[in-house]
Amino acid sequence: MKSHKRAFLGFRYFRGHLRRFLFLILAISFGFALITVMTSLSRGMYGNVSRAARNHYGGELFVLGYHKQYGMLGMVESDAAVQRAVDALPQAPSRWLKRSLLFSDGFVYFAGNGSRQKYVYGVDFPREADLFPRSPGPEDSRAIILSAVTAGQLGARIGDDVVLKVRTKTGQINTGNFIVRDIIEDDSIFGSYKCFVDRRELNALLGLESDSYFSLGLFFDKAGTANAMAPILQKALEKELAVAPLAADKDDFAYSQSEHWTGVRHFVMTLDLYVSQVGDLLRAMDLVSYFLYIMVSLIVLVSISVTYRLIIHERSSEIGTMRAMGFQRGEIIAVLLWEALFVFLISLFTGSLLSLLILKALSLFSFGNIPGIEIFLDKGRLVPLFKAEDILLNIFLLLFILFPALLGPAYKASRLRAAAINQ
Amino acid sequence: MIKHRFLLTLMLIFSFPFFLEAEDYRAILEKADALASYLDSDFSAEYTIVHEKSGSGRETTVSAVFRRDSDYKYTIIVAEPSINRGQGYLKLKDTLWFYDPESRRFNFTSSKERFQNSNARNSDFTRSTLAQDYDVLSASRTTLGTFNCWLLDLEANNDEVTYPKMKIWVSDDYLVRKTEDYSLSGQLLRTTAIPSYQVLEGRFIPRAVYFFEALVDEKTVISIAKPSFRAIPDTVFTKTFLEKSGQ
Repeated sequence: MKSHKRAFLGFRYFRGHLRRFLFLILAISFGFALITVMTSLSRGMYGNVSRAARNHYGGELFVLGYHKQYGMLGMVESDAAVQRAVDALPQAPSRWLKRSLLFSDGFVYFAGNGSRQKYVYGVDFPREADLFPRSPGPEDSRAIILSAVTAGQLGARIGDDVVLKVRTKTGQINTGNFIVRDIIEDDSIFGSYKCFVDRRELNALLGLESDSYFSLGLFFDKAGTANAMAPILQKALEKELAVAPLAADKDDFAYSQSEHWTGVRHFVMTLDLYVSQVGDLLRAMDLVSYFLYIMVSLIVLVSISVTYRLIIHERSSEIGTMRAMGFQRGEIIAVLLWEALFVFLISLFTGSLLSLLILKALSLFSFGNIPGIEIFLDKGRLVPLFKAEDILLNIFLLLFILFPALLGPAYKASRLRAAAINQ
Repeated sequence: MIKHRFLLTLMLIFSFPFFLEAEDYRAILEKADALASYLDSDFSAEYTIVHEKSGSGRETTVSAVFRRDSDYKYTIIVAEPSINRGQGYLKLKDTLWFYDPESRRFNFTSSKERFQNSNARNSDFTRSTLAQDYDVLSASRTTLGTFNCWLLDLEANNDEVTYPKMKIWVSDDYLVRKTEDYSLSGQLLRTTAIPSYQVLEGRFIPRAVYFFEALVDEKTVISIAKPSFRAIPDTVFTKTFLEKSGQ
């Protein structure tokens, strides 16, 4: 018998016994929907954290300059040397941002209220217009953009005059007057107490040279390029500047920072390293998801096996008739596997639909009030991200569960004799 | 003739500051430092620090302060509130330690930091070194309430001081009556007032020091009681003393 005839026969039998397969389809669909929801949400959460981190840190691959004697204040020593190293990269960045940063030592004051800032960023507003919806113009040097949390604590609104207090590179108190040009909502882990001012203004307040910067952030068009470029950039920089070894993880980075040095030491850092702890957490969540999936799969595997045995038993006379009509064992197995393939395809379809329904239902609710989870959300909501490799892995897992569970009963069925007709 | 003498006197009075040189202004600061520092003996007292913050109410901290100004040393033990009891500060020259009895650990802190989250800075508890740390930019005569004062504009000559710019009102008896602390860019940050002093063994000790933050609605009053110039054992200025006090 030709294979397309087996497929056709399999489809006819599948359609004829659809009611018998319903429970099986439901069980498989539920399992597939569960893992699809979990993996897509996990990817979505990581995507949210990554996007927020990319905006927060201003890049995917960074050159940072730390001046040990100025505490957490930093500056890149030679812009020309850094530019040469960037120009020599085999994959040119699609975009770059220079930023200054005051870490944990800035305060914003308004109307008798004060707010300690975890990050005071000096940015080039025109270059970052996409990150700031109401980006101030290049001549608006007194502009400040506050996070919603900071603005709320101060009671400040757009147009208000605020005072930014910082410590200079030598530890003196310095202040500047700024006008609030925008208040940004940011529910991410990085969104709390931070503000953005013009880089040159911040440098002046900190006592740094006007055009200096702490970090050069590079963006690449293709995902994963930043990680590939990091060692190349590090090697290129090493030839001209004092550069720390490329850190494998955050502990490595912290160790490099704790070492003694004089003047400026540069660090090449990837965004993945910045958010490695969040990545570890989500990878742990993935493992939990797959553990659950395997548990569900085992249950499904047993159910499939039992249900299919039952179905085969109920159809023994039919299979016996087929044998009597001259069907070979291999052909019986092939027809039964074709049936299983249709079960698999229908389960895949209904499982995908079910997962979309669950995700849609989840997206209707705001989870922003649940402590700890807000860092993974986009405007308080869970957002899934479908990755081809995840979907393929899930489909492969489903195939891996389904067909071994069917092979046993199908093989037994193929061994039924024509005598089974009378049973 | 009388009219001319009167005019001459007026001119002398108003031009008085211009006859003084920068060195003379420094001498005013040195005299003010001398009165606010106790170099020939130890000093101890009980400091009651009341900190008021708009919307957060009032917090009271009671501390025992031990100073040995001649060696740039001080030890402060917090007695109240009970939650902070046993916390302590030990300043040995340029190094300032903070001791937390909960963790039983010493941590470095800075003289520029707030004392127990009040508006006083850790540097407010040590000897006065205005003449050493600041240059006088300008000076004028003024009155502050009932006091005739020198008003001196100061600018720090090093980065170690808490405030880079100050205005200071020194009465004719060389006691500091008021200071205004400014940022590098000239923003007023804090006003300090010392309206009255108590006298013990011929030396002046503030009765109370008032701190008013300019950028936030906060104020702190430090009342100084039980002052003493008796000798303090050397062991008080050690980490062991802080550890024992914290038990």
